[in-house]
Amino acid sequence: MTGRMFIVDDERTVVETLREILVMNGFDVLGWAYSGEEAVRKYASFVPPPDIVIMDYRLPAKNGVEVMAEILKLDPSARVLFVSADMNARSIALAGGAVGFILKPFGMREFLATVQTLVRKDGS
Amino acid sequence: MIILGAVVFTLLVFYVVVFQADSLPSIYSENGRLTSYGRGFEYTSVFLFGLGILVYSCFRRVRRQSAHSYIAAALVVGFFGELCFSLYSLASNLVNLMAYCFEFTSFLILFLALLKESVTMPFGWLALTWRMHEKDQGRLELKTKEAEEARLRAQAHLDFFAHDVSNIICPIVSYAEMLLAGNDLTPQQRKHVGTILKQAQRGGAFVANLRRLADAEAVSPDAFVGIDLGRVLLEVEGFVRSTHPTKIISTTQALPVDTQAIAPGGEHVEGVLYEIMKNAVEDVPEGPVRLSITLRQVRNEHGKRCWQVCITQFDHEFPPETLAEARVIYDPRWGIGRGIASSYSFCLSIVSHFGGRLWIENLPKTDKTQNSRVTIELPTADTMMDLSRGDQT
Repeated sequence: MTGRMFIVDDERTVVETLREILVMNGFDVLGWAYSGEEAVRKYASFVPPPDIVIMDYRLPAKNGVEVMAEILKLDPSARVLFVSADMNARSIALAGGAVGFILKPFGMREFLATVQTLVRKDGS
Repeated sequence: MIILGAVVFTLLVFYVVVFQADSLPSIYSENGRLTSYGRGFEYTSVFLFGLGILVYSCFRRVRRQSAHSYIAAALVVGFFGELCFSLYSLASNLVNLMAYCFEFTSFLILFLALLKESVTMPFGWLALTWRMHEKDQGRLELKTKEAEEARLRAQAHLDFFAHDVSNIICPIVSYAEMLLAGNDLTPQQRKHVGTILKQAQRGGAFVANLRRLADAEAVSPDAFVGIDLGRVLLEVEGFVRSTHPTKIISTTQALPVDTQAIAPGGEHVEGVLYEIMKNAVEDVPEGPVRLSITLRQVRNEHGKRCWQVCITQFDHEFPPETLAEARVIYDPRWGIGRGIASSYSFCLSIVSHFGGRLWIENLPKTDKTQNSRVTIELPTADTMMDLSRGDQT
């Protein structure tokens, strides 16, 4: 199973971990960003766009939902998977157009299973 | 009693002087001077004033009246007034005039003393108390504002703490799972990594629960934020399924469709339901997870209507320590050695905060099966409104 991924998280270790998990399991990580502005700028530069954007909720300056809104404005077909330690962010993210939500702290198996389910849905 | 005695005495004197005047000896002689009886009468008055000064000087040592200086002055001036009355020779005499002046001054001072003691001072105290009350009110408002700011700061710290700890735990759990998925570890290393994984997951769950409880307790139960329990149960079940895609989860549901199951707690109770279902799923390491979810309206022990959610798990048994912990509301003041609370303890704390109840139990064994159940009771919207109006029955 393959898919193009884009990771947005302000924590470098988390980005590194997610990138490693995805690459080890055959996914193509197009890039990563540590802030909302960087994420929007990089997303606009991807041709073709990533299949899934993995987005943290708490980001510097703008939160993940605001960044997702900007990305969806650029590309209404963008699919954003939210990761957050805040359960309250789930309903906000899903209402804003996210396709999935994972509660932090999560492990490799949970993360991978969720991503694979989304990619499978995308392909079907 | 003293006042009554004084009134009776005055009336008696008034009666004798007005109606029995003939029976009294004459005070003035024909040439306008005091008779010996009149002088004796005046000397008696002087003596009584002197006695009054003496008694008062002793009395004021016992009761430190604020108007004592006025009363003492009135008595002294009255004493000299009566003395002048006993010394004058003619009614037109200057000494007689002085006597009247002294008497007038004495009564004026006495009037001022009474005014001060009974009117000015009580009202002064009242005004002072009022000013202090206003000042205290301002101070109280300031303290409340400071406490609210401190609470929000603590909340923000906890948010950052929970966020950062989650970011720390994520890689630990992921790399531990990665190591366990490989074949490079010796059995002992595998055991150690397994312990790291388990403890990191416990830490993560504890922080998440702590944050959830702090969020819930920041909300006043009176500030009714309702959720539709039926809808939320379905959503939470879907969310648990999506986060545990490798698990086989089968559920049967009995949810009311014709009534909106509105209960207090908002997303905080949603978090509790998520935690309970997640625990149910993660408590079964291998094999299918079978759950039955029911929602119905019942009457609580006070006869008030409430929503009851029952999550029954088949082929599952709670260990005794979990059953014990689930009965105790989480308290951050628990001492060292108490251990960290189980998820159920946090869930109970949140549900209790919103006026509900939560309990877990192992159902009676039937043949070879053992089932467990988590029950949550939450007030219905109308019960909650009654409670907020103060109707506790």
